[in-house]
Amino acid sequence: MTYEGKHPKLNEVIRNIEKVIIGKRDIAELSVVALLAGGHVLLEDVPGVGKTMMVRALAKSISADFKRIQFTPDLLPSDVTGVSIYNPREQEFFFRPGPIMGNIVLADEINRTSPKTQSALLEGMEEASVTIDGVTRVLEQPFFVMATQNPIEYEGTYSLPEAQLDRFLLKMRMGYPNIYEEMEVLHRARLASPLESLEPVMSLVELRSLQQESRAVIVDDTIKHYIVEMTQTTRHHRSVYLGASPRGSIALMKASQSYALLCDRDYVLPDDVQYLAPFVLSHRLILKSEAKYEGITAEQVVAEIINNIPVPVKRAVNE
Amino acid sequence: MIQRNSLLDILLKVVLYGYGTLLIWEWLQPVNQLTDTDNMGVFIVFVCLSLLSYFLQVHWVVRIMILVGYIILSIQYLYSQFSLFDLAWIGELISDMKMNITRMVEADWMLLTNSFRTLLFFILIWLISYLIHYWVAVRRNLFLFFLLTIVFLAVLDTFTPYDADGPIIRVVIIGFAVLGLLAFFRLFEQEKLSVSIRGLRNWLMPLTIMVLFSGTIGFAAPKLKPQWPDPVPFITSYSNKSTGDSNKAGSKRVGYGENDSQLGGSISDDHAVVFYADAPTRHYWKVENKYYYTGKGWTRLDYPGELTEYDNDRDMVNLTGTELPGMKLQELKTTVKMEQFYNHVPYPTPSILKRVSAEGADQYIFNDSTNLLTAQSNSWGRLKLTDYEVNYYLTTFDRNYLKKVTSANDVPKDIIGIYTQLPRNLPERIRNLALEITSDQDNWYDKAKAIENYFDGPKFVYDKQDIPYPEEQQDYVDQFLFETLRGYCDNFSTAMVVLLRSLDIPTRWAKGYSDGVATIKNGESVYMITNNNAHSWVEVYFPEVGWVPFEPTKGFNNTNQFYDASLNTNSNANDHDTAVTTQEKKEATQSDKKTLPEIDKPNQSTSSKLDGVYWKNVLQNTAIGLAGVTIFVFLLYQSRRKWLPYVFITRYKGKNGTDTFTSAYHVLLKQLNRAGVPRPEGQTLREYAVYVDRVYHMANNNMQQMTKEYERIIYRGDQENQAWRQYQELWENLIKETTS
Repeated sequence: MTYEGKHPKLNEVIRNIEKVIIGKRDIAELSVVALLAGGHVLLEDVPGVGKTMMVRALAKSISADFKRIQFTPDLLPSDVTGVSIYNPREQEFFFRPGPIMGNIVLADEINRTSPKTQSALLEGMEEASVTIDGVTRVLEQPFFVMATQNPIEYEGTYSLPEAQLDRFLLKMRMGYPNIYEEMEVLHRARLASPLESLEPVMSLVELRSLQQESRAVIVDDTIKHYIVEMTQTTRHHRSVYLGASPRGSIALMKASQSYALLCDRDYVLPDDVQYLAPFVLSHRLILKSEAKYEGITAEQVVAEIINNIPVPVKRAVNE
Repeated sequence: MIQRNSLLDILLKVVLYGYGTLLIWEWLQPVNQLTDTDNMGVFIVFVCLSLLSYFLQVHWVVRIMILVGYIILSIQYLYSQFSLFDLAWIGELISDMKMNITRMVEADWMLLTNSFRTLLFFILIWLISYLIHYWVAVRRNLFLFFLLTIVFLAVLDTFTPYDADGPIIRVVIIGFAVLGLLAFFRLFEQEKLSVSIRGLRNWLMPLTIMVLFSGTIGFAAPKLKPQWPDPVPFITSYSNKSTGDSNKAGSKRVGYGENDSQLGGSISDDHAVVFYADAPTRHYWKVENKYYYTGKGWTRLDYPGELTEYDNDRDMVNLTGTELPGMKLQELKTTVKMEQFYNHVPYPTPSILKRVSAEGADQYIFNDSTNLLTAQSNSWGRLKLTDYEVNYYLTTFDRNYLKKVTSANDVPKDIIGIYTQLPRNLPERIRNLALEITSDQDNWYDKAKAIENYFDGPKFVYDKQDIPYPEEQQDYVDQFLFETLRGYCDNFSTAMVVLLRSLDIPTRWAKGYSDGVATIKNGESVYMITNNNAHSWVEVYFPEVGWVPFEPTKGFNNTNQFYDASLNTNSNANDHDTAVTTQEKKEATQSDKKTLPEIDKPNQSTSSKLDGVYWKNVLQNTAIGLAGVTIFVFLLYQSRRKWLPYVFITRYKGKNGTDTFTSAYHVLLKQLNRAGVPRPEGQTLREYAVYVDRVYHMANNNMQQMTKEYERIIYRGDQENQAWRQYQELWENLIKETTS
């Protein structure tokens, strides 16, 4: 939708991902956006569309520590955070870090585990630190969680509470590839997995500096006003029971900044806000039950709000 | 809350519509007084009806049906000779409209019938009430109309006899009260307060006190006398002077339809031929009469409805072999070939017209009051004749018969009323002079002759140069009789009319052409009439005989020698002492140039009536002018999409900087909106730019390029942007594209 070039370094990462995942450039871009903004991503889709592959490709493109947690109903919080073990020879406890202690963490099927274990992960996501045996351990930055959940199965699942959904910067769906993309998938599957041949194109240092850069992207007051107007409208919308919080506004702004950087721009456009709003806001809204019965989805509400709020075309503030 | 608001709304509208009706009523009031518009109630009811329909929010189809029905029924009621149930009136109405529309297209405003004028007036009132509705329903504000009403009343008060003291006070006081109430409603609406009786009372008390207080102060306070002289004569004299100098003499006097309301000033020769006529004898050619003397000149007055229609090439009258009292008729025929074309048809005088024939003409319209003759064709409307033939009875009058008239006893009342009109402030010495000149005469004929001879005396000089305009407070005739004693035909003829009228002898002012010069054209002997022959003279009414012409202008008695025996050539030498002999001689010549026997049948009679007609014309002209200006402005506004961009192109040329870029971009957005490519509110500029470039097939993606730069200014806050130079051409190309 935009007609400008991408940031060269980030573009390399995205191209790397594209080597593995076909036809999902937007998802790759959004993942990078979340990574730059220091947020986390919830991928919601059926199994087999390449969620895990996508995260692994991203992790491999950046020379970062990649960890994976497969959530099961019997998983314990210590399985996530790590545990202190008594070493008889040394006669003392030593800490064995859990899978959360990585730079890029894939939390697969997060809704399959108990709320207790979910909380362990979500606390780490929010506070960038975990407390084990009374000791608070700070997680290494960058810390990026990509969680997936399966919307089909309800048996034996613990759906995430609304308050915890708020922790994710973006929530998105992969969706199926179209017919040509899927043919291309088949074509590539005959050969060795391309994932193995991926080389890292970005160092952690470079990533950190890009994160810094994204925070410096200019957000004019007119745009801030536009963002706030959008989140505030969700709070008064007739179909919405609970609207987006100020954290939602912050998330929308940060995501927009990162997206602007991805587009190699040092200022945010209303276009960025409009593009990201569905991914940032939809999972933060709780619809009224009557709206749900009518078949209204949170995405529709956000789309309606985007269409109705006037885009600022003049400077809001007089210097 | 909602209910209160709607109650508030209704209250507000009642106040506004009520005041709107009052304002329109104040507009209609002077029309009633200044013109001969009657039945004002019909129009007031129409105003109320139309505003009521707006107030009740009647569907527009129903509204139009009601109002059109009301208009048609009113016209039927006021004008139709048929009853409502006799459907013949519909046909009558339709044919009447057809005829009037043709006349309107021809710009023959004077020939429009009263029913059509009424229709036009209805339409005007409809427009005004729509405007009121617009101001009330959309703008919620009547201030503009309030202001216009005051200006309108002030102008009328200054320029017309209408006394607007009362109306102005009424409009101002009620206007202030309404504006105060409006402020109250607006305040409450803004603050979302509910309207309570107490709140209203608390507001109304100080408002009433303030309005009353300021009204009283304004009314009672001492006022300065007018700081400027009355602007009306100044403006008219100014415009007359400016045109008078550039115009040639003849055309100034003979360009009919031009006004004679400001006589005076020099005239120069103009030898342009107006027409050739193969008349068998010499006589004057008449175009029209005027009879309202203002103290500065003559005002054209018409009585619509006193038009007589005659068919082309048919006898209007046949008097062959008829004896009329006091006059002799001589049947003659003349062919006229016009060289300059006018709407009017000059005809021989003094005469009774028998028949007029011209190719292409279907009817002739003779105005019984102004004696103006015009030609019409069924398909073309009013015609400017090129060649025509007139059969007429040239009249000579029996001097002894005329001498029998010594008083106005046998003269119809309305003739006396109109043709003895004089300005109220006419100096008394004019009447004294008239009495002095005619002291020895007892009958009207001799009195007229005595005045003619008075002008023939050595005191008076015929001159077309260096003739002044009267001073501001000075009477035109008074200036000529007592100060300058120099002038041309207008001075002499006007002075004679005024002198005779001061003796209560009904007299009117006639204008047209004198007899012209005999010449040979295409081997035929004809009279050549040029602009120099433009002339004015005097006609006096004699009971039973009608209007008899007299010639006061010095030097013009020579023309008579061709009529009758050359009795008259030495009359210049006469002076006052030998009045009797001179009179004898002149009488002989005068007896040949006689008159029209038509008897005028003007309406009622009073001079205030004539005032009304005059101001009606002024109002009409003003209304037409205003309507023209309004239409022009409206069209200009409507077509702004076409021309406005070019204004902006020049405006932004050679400029630079952020502000220029921003405002140019906004102008472009507005222009695109006007051009039918609007941007939905939720659409970003970028998406819109793509759409615009696609709509206008912009090969360079002008809009996208500009938008990208514009985004830097507003979303990035670039203050020192100097990119306008670079984008100016793209901008110009695109905005030009939008005008097509």
